[in-house]
Amino acid sequence: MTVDTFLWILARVTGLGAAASLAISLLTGLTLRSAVLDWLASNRALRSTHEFTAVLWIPLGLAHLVLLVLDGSVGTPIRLLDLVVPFRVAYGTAAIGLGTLSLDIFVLVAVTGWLRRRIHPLAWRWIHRLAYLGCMLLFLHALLGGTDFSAPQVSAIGWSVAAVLVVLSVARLLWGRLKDEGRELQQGRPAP
Amino acid sequence: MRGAPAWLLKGSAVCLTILATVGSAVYVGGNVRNQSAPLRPALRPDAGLSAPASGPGQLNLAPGLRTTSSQRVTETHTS
Repeated sequence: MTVDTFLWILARVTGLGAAASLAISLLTGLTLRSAVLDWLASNRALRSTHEFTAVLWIPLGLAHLVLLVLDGSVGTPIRLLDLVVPFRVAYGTAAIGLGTLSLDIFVLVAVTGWLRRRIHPLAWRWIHRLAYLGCMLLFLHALLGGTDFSAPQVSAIGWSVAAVLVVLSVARLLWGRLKDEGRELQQGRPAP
Repeated sequence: MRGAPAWLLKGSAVCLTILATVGSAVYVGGNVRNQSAPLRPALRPDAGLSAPASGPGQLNLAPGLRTTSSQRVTETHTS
């Protein structure tokens, strides 16, 4: 096995791992609002876990990007600028561009998450809601460009997780906010 | 405190992520080449993913039928 092949394998593994940890992040974020896991833990514990998941998906996502840039097995390599500006890569332009767009959104959501105290709660909330869009773009990125997403073992898990997240998101839209949110808003801590 | 503590949820998140990553590594390691992948960039010949070279006693099978641009030499009922 050559170095390029090894890098390519690692890029695929870290991409799948980052997607899994992002799904956990979105799940814990959704449960804060929909009370689906109210029986399991308190809102405080879920919020702490939701914030903690950044420690999981950011390193895996960064490793995915670095490995793709270092991978020399493709004829037209991905450059650093391609990680920020979408739809510039010569091959798989749409698939890779969607991944770049989702990356931009997640960077914005993560940075504003850390600067939450300095941002108006309403502005922060609307920026944080972009994470839903980011997850949709990420799923399309995996669907259109994922090397392993065409495999039934991977796609079955991917579609199942996506279905659960969609159901929770729809439930959140239909049943509105938690009754606890009023208390959180009074404390100046809007739920995500 | 009501329900599971935060450290248990965080530990579960870490375990799930590790499980997903290790599971992915096992799967990808066993399926390095995925012919049905939707995005397959043109691979360089020296990328280590080309067909293995044939050695003594090995048969190297490769597509041998190629199209040509030369004039046809026969006429059939349909041509």
